[in-house]
Amino acid sequence: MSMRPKVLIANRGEIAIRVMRACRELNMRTVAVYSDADAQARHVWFADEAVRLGPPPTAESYLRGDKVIEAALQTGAQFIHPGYGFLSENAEFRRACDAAGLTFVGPGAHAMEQMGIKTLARQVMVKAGVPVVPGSLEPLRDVAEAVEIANEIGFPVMLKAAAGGGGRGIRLVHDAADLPAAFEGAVREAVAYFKDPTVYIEKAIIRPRHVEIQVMADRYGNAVHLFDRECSVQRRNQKIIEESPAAHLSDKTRLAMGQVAVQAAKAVNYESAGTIEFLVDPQEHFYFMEMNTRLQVEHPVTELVTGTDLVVEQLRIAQGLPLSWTQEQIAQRGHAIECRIYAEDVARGFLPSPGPLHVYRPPTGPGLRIDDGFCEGDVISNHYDSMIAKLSAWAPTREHAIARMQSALDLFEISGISHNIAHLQQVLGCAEFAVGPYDTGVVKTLPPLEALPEDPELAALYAAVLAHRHGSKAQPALPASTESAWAYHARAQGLRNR
Amino acid sequence: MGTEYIVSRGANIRSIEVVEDRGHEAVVRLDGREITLQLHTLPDGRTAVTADGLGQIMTRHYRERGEVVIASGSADFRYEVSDVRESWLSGGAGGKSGKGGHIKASMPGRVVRIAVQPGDMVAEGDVVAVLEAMKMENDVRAPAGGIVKQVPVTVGQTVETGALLVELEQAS
Repeated sequence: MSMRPKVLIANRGEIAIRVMRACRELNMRTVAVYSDADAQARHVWFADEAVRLGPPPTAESYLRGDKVIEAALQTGAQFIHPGYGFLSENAEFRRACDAAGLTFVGPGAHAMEQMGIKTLARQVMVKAGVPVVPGSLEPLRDVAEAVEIANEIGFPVMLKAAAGGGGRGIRLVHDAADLPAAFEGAVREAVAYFKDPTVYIEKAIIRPRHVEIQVMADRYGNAVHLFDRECSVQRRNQKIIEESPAAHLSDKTRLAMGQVAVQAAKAVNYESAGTIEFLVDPQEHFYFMEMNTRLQVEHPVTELVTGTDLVVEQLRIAQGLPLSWTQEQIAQRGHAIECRIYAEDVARGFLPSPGPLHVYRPPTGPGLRIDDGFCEGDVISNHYDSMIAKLSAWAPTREHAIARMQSALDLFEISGISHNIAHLQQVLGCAEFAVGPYDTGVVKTLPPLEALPEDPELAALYAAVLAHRHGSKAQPALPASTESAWAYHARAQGLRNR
Repeated sequence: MGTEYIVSRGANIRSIEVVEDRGHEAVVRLDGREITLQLHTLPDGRTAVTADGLGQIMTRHYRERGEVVIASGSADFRYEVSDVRESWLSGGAGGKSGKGGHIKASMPGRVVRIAVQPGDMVAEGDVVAVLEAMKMENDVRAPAGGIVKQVPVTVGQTVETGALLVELEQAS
């Protein structure tokens, strides 16, 4: 039997491939899992072996912890990397891994649980000396208590479900008169979505910035932070563009946040990669919002500015090694921006746009990084997340990084599905983002994009020539101009044999 | 004489005449301006389309749901393209509330078959003639239904692009 350790990656798409790359670099073998919709997906072929989980719906495939564990035992994998989403923050799954003798690449179940319940997390953070948004630490008993605390901290306030997430079970209240109805509404939603009526109250931070700190900790009590990421460019609580460092944050605040984040991680005996999310007000007061007990989607910007590989570090730590760096060895260099490419139809209210990727050729060049999980000819399934790729750009300055990103997005050849690149370009080009300062309201200030931006005259003229050559409508198909897969395969084989 | 196409994209409708197509370049006419497109196929499968005063675009193309898709970088431009005569017959864009239609040769070639004679009723898509060009036989189909008014060509005759093959008049 081979001595090379084996890792099962309990995810799909770009993050599965991202994790597998790190495994290969560490000479670890990889096992992919897949649903029927993904039987031909890139992550399946990228792995050394692959195990089917079930039908396309996530509840019958990627969320089936029992089947994932069975697949790991069956293939002889010793490690399970959950990626993000799916089973990554599921304490019950983590315990099941432990029980089966498998090493979960991530924090312990106790840390996950403490951070998963918002009221509990706030209490732990206060005890660790981490600033939290003023408000109740215990669940609210009734409306009267809500009114009492609201008068103390001042309006506007937020009512939030303790087990909440994803913007649900949240009420913004400007006036004491509106509080009773809002309280009832928040409780109702909390029960409906999270089966837990617990609600707490916080002072509302109006148009905050969303800045988070990356932390990494080993099982020997060592913890470091890897500086900040700004994630204020959001649409309906969905992040679109992230950058590191945060654009208009003083170094003093940045370092204070970093120190506090390390305290937070240590307070819950954290292990592996985690992220502390903060709300920052215009005076740079910062408040703990939540901790994500997993690898974040936007981790590439941190890797680009710190010169680290967070997934490699996660895998080392899971193997029982101590942290590779001390805090003093970690520096932030230059500026990195990440854009998330979503299969959505911007002109039709950002509707998801699954379908065939007829053309898919990401840009390359100095300072660019692509994290993706599809190739040309793939079909973007309607069963899963609409994010198809992450494009990141690094440059010595923020201005240069923005210009590099704009140029790269322009050269991103992608066709067949609708995508949000025009929207990304709109944000990158707006004065608020480019010059700043900006906050979580930045996307809302932009005018809606035209459904049909003007076309270059050459495109219309060329369309007429193509119709002339291949027949107009009467002909069923126009030969595609892209190179055939067979020709590509033959060429690749030729290169390999050289 | 070239072939005129109606090229539509949303509310933007252009009438573009393809005057001549020589492969590596094509001459088109838009709003009375004659424009020469330089068409250069790149090793990676893209086409560089260049014209004096109009700059350059690098494109890939395919057809989807009857539309010609020109993909240039991250932008897609989708066009509905129809031969002006089809539009005319079907009463679409460019139509002149016509009483008939001219089915013309879309390429130079030899008439190898004529499938209709005056007075025949034809439906949209029916083959009315077969033209041979570059050793390939090409069906010439009726772009809309109608009654054959005249067939001014004979089998074996060589015709140029744009030559009238069959004239239809709309059935009343």
